[in-house]
Amino acid sequence: MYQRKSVKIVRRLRRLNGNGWAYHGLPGLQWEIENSSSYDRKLMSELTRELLEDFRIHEFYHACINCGNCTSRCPAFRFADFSPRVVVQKVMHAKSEPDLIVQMLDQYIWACFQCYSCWDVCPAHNNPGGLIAMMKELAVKHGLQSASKALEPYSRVLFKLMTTGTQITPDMHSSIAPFRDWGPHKAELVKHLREERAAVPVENLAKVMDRGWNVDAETIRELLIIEKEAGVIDAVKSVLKDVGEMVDETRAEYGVE
Amino acid sequence: MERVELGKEEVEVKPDQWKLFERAVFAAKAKLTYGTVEEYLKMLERMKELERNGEITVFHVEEEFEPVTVKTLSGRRKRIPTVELWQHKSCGQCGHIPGYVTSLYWIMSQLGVPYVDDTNQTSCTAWNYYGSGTSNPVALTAVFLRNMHVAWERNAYPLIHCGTSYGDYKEVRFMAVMSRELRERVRQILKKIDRDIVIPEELVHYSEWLHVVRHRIAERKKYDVSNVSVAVHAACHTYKLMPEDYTYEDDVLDGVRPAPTTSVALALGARVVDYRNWYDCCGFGFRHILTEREISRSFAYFRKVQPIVRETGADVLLTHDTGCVTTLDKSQVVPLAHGYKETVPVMSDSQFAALAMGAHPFTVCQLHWHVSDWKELMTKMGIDWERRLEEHKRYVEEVKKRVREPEFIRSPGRRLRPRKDSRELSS
Repeated sequence: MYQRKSVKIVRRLRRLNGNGWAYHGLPGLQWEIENSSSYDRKLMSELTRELLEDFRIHEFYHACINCGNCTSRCPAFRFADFSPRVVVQKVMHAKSEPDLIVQMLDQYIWACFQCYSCWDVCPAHNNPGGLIAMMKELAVKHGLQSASKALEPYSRVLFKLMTTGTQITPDMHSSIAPFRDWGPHKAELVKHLREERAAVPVENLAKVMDRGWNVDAETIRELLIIEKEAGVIDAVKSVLKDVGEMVDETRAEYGVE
Repeated sequence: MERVELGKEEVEVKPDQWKLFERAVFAAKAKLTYGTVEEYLKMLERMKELERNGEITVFHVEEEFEPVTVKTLSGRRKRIPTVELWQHKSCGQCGHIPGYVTSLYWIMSQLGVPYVDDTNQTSCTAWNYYGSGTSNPVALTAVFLRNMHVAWERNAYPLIHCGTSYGDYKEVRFMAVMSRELRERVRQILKKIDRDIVIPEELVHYSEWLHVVRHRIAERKKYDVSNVSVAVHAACHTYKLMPEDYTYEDDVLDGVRPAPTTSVALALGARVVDYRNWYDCCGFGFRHILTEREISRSFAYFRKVQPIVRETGADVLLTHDTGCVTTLDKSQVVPLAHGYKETVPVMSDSQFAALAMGAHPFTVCQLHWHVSDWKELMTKMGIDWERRLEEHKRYVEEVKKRVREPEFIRSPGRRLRPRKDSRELSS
């Protein structure tokens, strides 16, 4: 519906502010809207169909009255061009205009913090956070380029979780780790990390550097079976090929067929 | 108390029930399901029905877990087990804020609470799901049920340390109970790992456990914290994700905001201060905290830390989730480097309670892993932090040189015997 602006208005806005935020639609959406016009129509319909046929859609979306409560509580709205209200509105009109979903899937949704403040305050009990999580799943499953871009810096953590069942581990605290802005204090701690870790007074944590806690090999094997059977490894392969292949290698090491 | 006409009936509604009441009316009119109180209660009924039909096993909060009853937002009474607990550790805590979990274990050992710290546990994987979309309902439910099955085998009741695991488990439990298709797909996967469906009757967050044992903690208080002002940040995934089932208490924050953590600070005698942005998230954002640091940091500092310090001058900011402690603590470094002045120490309620009970601030509470400055708070509590830090350094050095063995926190002896394995359960 946002695209149904009269050509005249669009031209005028372009003349006024050619490279600015005011043309074609809402602030922050110009890239997504431009990009959706070049999308494969078949893929576009497929993505929309999959979203609208998901068993959770009727639980997460009911009817949007455009009140904006969700956006008023949204942390991403404060510091990024993002609004959960826009997402719900686009889902509302997706059936007749499938490109609206692609506009959301392609980059826009990755701003969401998944805090679910939007769900808590929605008078219609929509769950924008839930819808966005579903959309992220779709973007990953179909290997959208924007998903690959968003997740590339996340690769290390993703691999760690999928192959150890734990996420942030002591060996991630190093001078080249992603947490450089944690300050000089962290750099100081890193110097004595091994000793400090050995002195943590819980047996399953002490000395463990490459995972959060001691995890049994059999536990990891079970996790890898779940990931394989539920299609998680395939989904990761389609968006981060290297990570998916490394998980596959680990899977083979653990004897998971 | 007001009287409201609802169809042909007239009902009385307490002021603090307005939000729920409005939702219920809207839900009834719109024929809504998921996320409403009615549907949540329906799900619990359905769970009992599935148990009666032999489709699932329900892990009940039996008397042997010495439960304490609390009120939830939905008005439903929830039984919180207090002993024989299966520690569902958090993937974000153990690696870089270990004091969170060590403090909790220390409190349990002090209170004589037996527990199981299992190596047969994975994280819920929901951090990954919310951050990257690289999972799906089938995988999330299977991971949930696998962990719950292990707890059931150990005959120890799951106590979930992470707010996100708690929220995710509430969500996937709802789906697993209400969707036959999902349940059957997951059952097939569980069969491949020799497990079956065991669903806990209650999902319990550790902050709820701290809440119900708070008076026992206060009895063992070693330091006077009456001069300490405490600001509390409630974690979104504990009370916004499936909000019906978190603990509320009439005499804590008038029963309209989550009770845990605030109740612990009050029981210890601290002064709890209020601030206008109490409802805001911490800025964690799952993927953002790792790869979009600027947005996470900006939100944490300018929407939480700065307003809290300016409005309340709090001595400490307490919270009850992995992500919140991480974000609120670590996000203070850069703004301070840029000349902003506001700063406040951040820790979990378990660390604060353990400190007040006299736990070692470094060897047990592991405060040196936190980057926000805790020195002033220690001084205010009457803790000689310089001496304690020296002690800790000496201890670490001795452990390193193998002059002494590390002193591990141990669970008091268990009374319950582990159950048989899953094969016997299914037969």
